[in-house]
Amino acid sequence: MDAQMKKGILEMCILYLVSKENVYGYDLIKIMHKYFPDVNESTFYAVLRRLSKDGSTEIYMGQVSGGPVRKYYKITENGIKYLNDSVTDWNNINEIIHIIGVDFVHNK
Amino acid sequence: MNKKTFMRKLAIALHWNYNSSDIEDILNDYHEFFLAGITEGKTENELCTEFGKPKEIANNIRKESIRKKAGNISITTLLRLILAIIIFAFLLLTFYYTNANTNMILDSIISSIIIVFPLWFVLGGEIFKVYCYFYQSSNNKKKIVLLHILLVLCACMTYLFIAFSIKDWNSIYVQTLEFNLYEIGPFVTGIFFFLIGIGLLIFLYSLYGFYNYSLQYYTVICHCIGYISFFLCLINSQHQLDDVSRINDILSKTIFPYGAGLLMAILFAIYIHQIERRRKITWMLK
Repeated sequence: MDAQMKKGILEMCILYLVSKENVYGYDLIKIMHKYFPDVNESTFYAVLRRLSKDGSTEIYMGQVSGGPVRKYYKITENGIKYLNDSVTDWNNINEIIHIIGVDFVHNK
Repeated sequence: MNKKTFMRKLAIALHWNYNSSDIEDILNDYHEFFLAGITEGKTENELCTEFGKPKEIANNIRKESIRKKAGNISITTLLRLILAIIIFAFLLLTFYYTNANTNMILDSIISSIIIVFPLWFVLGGEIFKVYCYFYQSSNNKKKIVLLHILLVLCACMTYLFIAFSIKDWNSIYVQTLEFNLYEIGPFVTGIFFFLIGIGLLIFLYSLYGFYNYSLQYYTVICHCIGYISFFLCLINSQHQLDDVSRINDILSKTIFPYGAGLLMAILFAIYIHQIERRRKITWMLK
């Protein structure tokens, strides 16, 4: 996959997963790895880290009954806005591709 | 690879591109991932291969953070640049104020200052960074190392050129960036401006690289500032002294600080590098 395209898609997916439920970093990376087996796990970590630096996600320390204290991620107002923008963009592009009718081309 | 080696390698790979708190943050995250993986019943070895190579992790994080340019430069980077500019300005000011009343003692003090301070930037101030690049896998690594070496060569050649040209053509009166072509000949002037040209080209290229490719180029910019200040101060000091024997005297005096500065810079660089490395990695070995 093209690097720039991939980054945008990964970012959108990670933000969406975080918006659905507050998630622990390790779990999120595992879930993403299940969907994108070709992508290196450190890429997910890097994207996640940047999202929290940008202020799209927020970190808080949480604990599952009896377990160790862990770093959880939750989405912020900015993150929701950013996610909605990317989803809109993505849908627009999909629509355009659909209108053009882009499909596989076979050699003549 | 076990966890300890993995963490050490990661710390080294992140080292210098990030400040201590960032490195600690990233290492803490991976520490948590290891704990989580082990509770799932995986071995440290399996987890290491899952997480990927430490160098790749560091590269991925760096690439991500470079995507957004604003507010991206760390405070240490900024401080180093500011320090370089302050020293540059200070040196220029010193020469404007000591213009009128120079005597022999002042000459030797000035000559030491001319050489030692800028040389710290030219040769030593950032030289240890070149050493650190060998830990990282970056496309710009070779280019940056090459630029550093070129700049150091330029600085040495400029110095040797000035020293020898004045000793060979004993009657030259050097004015600021203005040479008497009859006295030293067009060939020598050509070499001289060629050297300045190379320095300027490297400076412009590293500025370009700084904005477009990698923040690591700032080390080359620091070197360039040192090179330019070194060069300007040397020219300026010659401009003030109209007596050729005194110029010769200053130049012969500067050879000692030149060598001492170089040695000091290298020793200092190794020392700082060791300290910093130890400081950043020790917490992992607790």
